[in-house]
Amino acid sequence: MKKFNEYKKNIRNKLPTWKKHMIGNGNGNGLLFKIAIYFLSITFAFVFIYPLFYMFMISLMSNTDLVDSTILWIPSGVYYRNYIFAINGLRLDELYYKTVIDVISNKASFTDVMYPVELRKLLVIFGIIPLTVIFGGLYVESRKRLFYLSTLLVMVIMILPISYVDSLYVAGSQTVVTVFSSAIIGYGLARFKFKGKKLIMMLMLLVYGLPKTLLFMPRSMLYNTIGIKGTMFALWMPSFFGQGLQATFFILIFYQFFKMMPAQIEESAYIDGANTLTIFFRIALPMAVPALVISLTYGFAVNWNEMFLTNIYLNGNIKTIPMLLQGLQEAWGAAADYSAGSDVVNVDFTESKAFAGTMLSIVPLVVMYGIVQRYFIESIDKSGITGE
Amino acid sequence: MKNFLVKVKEFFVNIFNIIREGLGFIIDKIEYVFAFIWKHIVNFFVFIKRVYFSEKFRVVRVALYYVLLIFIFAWIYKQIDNFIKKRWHNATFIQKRALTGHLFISPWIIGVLALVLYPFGKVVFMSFNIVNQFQTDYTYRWVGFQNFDRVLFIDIDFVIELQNFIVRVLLYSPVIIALSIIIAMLLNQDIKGKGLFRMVFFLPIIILNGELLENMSNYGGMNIELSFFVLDVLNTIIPTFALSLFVGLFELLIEILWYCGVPILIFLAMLQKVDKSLYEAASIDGANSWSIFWKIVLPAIYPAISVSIIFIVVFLANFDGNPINSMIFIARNNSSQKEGYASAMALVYASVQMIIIAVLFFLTKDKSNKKGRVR
Repeated sequence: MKKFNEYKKNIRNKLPTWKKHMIGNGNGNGLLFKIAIYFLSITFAFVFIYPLFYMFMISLMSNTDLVDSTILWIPSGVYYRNYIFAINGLRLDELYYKTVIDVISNKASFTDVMYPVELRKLLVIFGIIPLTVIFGGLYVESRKRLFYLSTLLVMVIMILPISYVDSLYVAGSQTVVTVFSSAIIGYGLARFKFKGKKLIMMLMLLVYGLPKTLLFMPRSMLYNTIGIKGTMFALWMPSFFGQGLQATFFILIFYQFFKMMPAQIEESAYIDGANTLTIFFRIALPMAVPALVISLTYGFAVNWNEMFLTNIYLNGNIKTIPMLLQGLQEAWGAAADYSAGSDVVNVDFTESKAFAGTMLSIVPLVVMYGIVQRYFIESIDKSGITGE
Repeated sequence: MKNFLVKVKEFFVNIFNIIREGLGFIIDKIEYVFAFIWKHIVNFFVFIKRVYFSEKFRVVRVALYYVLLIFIFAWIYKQIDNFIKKRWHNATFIQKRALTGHLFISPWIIGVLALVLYPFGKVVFMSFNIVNQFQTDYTYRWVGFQNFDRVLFIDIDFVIELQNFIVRVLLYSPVIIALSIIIAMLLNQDIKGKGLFRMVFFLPIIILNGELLENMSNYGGMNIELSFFVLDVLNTIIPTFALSLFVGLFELLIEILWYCGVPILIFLAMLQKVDKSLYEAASIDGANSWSIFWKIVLPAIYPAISVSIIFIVVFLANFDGNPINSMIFIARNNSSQKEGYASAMALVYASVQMIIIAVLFFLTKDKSNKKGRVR
């Protein structure tokens, strides 16, 4: 009895702490609250990831497995032929250096339209090296290292499949041009006082609201008259003039960021005799690294996934990954082997083949995201993407 | 006497003839010389033309072209330079700063003039015309409001798609906003594996594209199946039409969640800005999490809602999976509809979208007095 009383006492002493431990002080630091948070986070994360997981599992199945109702998730055997077909359909089996050799030796395999396109692509890819050395040299001490790094990058591009290189070229060059011009425009809006700034901001939001389907017809007529339709200039020109994809969004990000930055540093540089361009390139731009990281990452993703405007402006001269993914079923129709003695069961186009193509199409983006995600997530805390 | 006069006359006539002949000779010679020179000049130009337009000497042509271009650009540069120097040296410091600012945003101004305002005017013009294309030339025939009449009242598909779009936007955007606020709050908590969760939630920003989503929805990667038992139980409590709406939304859950990426990013950046000491002060005064959310967090992130609304509507409108985009594209290439019909379509679509944006923006705009608010 005595012991029981002691036990009761003990419990009474301990009960408030338990309660506190479980619920906390009403401020969201109890155990129950944490459990709820973890439960919600994991649930949402599962819902986010679920389609990718589902697609990956389906893409490993043969057609027999798809029909079999006992097989829901795990295939009876890894059927890798889906991926072989998807590699052929997305043109991932040809490596880029072979095209380079063809272009340099000027073989007759190119038409008159395609040869300048390929040549320009090659020049841009080799132009990465001097551009990196010159522009990176403003910020980094050892230019030699930059040279080696950029050369390595070009070498890696050389051994990538053709369609990846095409997409990289289309998306990457557009992104760099867009972000560069957005940084300039955002800096101009944030740092200088002049008349009509409010009008320009209003107009910017208005232009952002216009759908892309409104302006593509007269723009493509315009490009036709100038003679740049079918070349990459049709994509670079709007990007440079601040009308690229999501350009207004990036301009506003840079605007917010340069607004937050103290102007005293630039003023002291101005007193020391630096001109405005020097201040912009040597002081303002290196401080805007978070905004640069966000806009480069998001811009690259947006430009990679865009196919409506790319398809129209390039006349199909360059085929990016999403376009090839769209034509995957027709590619299967051309490649399917209906003759006797072939694999009759797997001859139909099914979701496993579509999903194999889809998985392969997102591989470069996922790899890029895996590399930059740490900086991307860090940058969100630092930059002020709030609009206003 | 008579003879004398005749002789004098003859004499003058002779002299006149001599002079005339001499002059004629000289004129002939001069003409000849001029013709000679002219011939050679013409020959020279013919030669140049032959050289210039021949296949062999293409290098010369290209070189000449570039030399000319360089001269033209040098001239333009000199004019601009003179102009700026005149303005620059007479300007005050403030004027100089303003001029530099104008120079910094000049790409955008050129872009708006050449790539937005001019094409917009052309779209408006084309929507009142029937446009025909003969090789590279376009011919326009004024038909008034016929295109709009066809788009809105005769052909039914576009109006249906437009209704779908409006309903979709009005239905999706509140759900997207609510979900992204919840997820941003979750990500803002101090939990383990924060980086991993953030990585997962921002993955759709990177990989989402129209073709991927279409593949997913066509082949059934999107729907997490609801069990019928749960549905029956819910049906006893909730009326059927509300339940069907709920179930419909639930089936779209993954699609909606994948659209949330950038709004989450905006709300998270807004949440990071809130001062942590505010929470402490509120909790010392006896507020619990619930009232902290309604009194501190929500007012702090409220301005971001209108920004996200604009972003979501523009994103949904420009997304590749949107059927209106492909409809306009098809109409443009259709021989009976062409650019005129398509631009009427696009104008109606754009105006509807702008109206939606304006209404939602002014509904969610922050109307409270900014001075006395926690920020």
